[in-house]
Amino acid sequence: MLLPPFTSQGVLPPGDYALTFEELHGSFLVTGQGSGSAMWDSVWRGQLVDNLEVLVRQLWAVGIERVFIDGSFVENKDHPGDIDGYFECDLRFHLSGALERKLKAHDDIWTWKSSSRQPHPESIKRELPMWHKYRVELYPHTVGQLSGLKDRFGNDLQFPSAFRQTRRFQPKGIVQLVKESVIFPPSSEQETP
Amino acid sequence: MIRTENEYQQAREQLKRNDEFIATTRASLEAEEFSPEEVERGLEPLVSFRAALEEEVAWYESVRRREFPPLSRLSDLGRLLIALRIANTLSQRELAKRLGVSEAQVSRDEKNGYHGITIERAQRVLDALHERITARVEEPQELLAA
Repeated sequence: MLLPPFTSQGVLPPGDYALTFEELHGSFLVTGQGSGSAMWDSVWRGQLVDNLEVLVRQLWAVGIERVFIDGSFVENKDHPGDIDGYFECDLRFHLSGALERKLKAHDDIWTWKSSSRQPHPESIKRELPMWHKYRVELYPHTVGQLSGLKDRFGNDLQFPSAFRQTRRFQPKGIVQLVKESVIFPPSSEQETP
Repeated sequence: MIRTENEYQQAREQLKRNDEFIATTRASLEAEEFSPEEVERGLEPLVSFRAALEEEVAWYESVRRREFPPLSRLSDLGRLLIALRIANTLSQRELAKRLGVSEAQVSRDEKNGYHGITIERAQRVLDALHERITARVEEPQELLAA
């Protein structure tokens, strides 16, 4: 799937854009082609995608299918500090501890305990172990779980919706990682006022 | 990173709402008779997310009070330039005017953390902020202890 160019606000147009890792590596999010910036750090962005692939393949290996990335990586930013994202999973799979157990069989960085967050000189806040090792943060989203964020109308946002807005409540698109190339145009999520 | 007073106020409001939602989610999970361990596990991502935002707010408040961490890595210079603008209660627009560039340029530079900035341009920003930074060379023992 081809990505549309950034909007004038420097974000992707609203929608979910399904990309394979090969497509993501070849997209302007990594190459910077068309970004208009001479400082686009394609090498660093490529490294982040390599790291992301390690983690996403671990998620796929434990049966997690839908993984999305957001944040400054999918915005017009020369050098994003990291990749943020989330993945959808069954509530009981998460709450039972099975999700974390199965993931830790692949890599021991899989935890979301706040107590596991540690400071790093390159960050103003403490970061999860997965950030320290990969500069990638992927949060679980169980269907119906709230993120604690609201849209511009004051309605509660589901965790995925929270990633589809900038901090200034502007809608934006996000990228979904898929195993096989998708031909059809992206779906759009409509917020209910 | 919170860069403007508007973003700061929004973040503070968001923290309050996050607390309410964590409480609501806890009540919902408990009502479904999940065990205390399962409830805490379900809340972990929300709590971590909230803690990260709280630390971003704390950083903004500290630089506003001119509490800057030591610049131990030159790669942190961009963050310090942003912090100095905040400490001077200067908007991006006001800094742009002093620099003779567009507000969009300052916004983009800060969004990128001044990544790749030249020494000359960094000095121009410091001059526009009427700020000065000094550096010292640490003794090797200090480096080993760090």
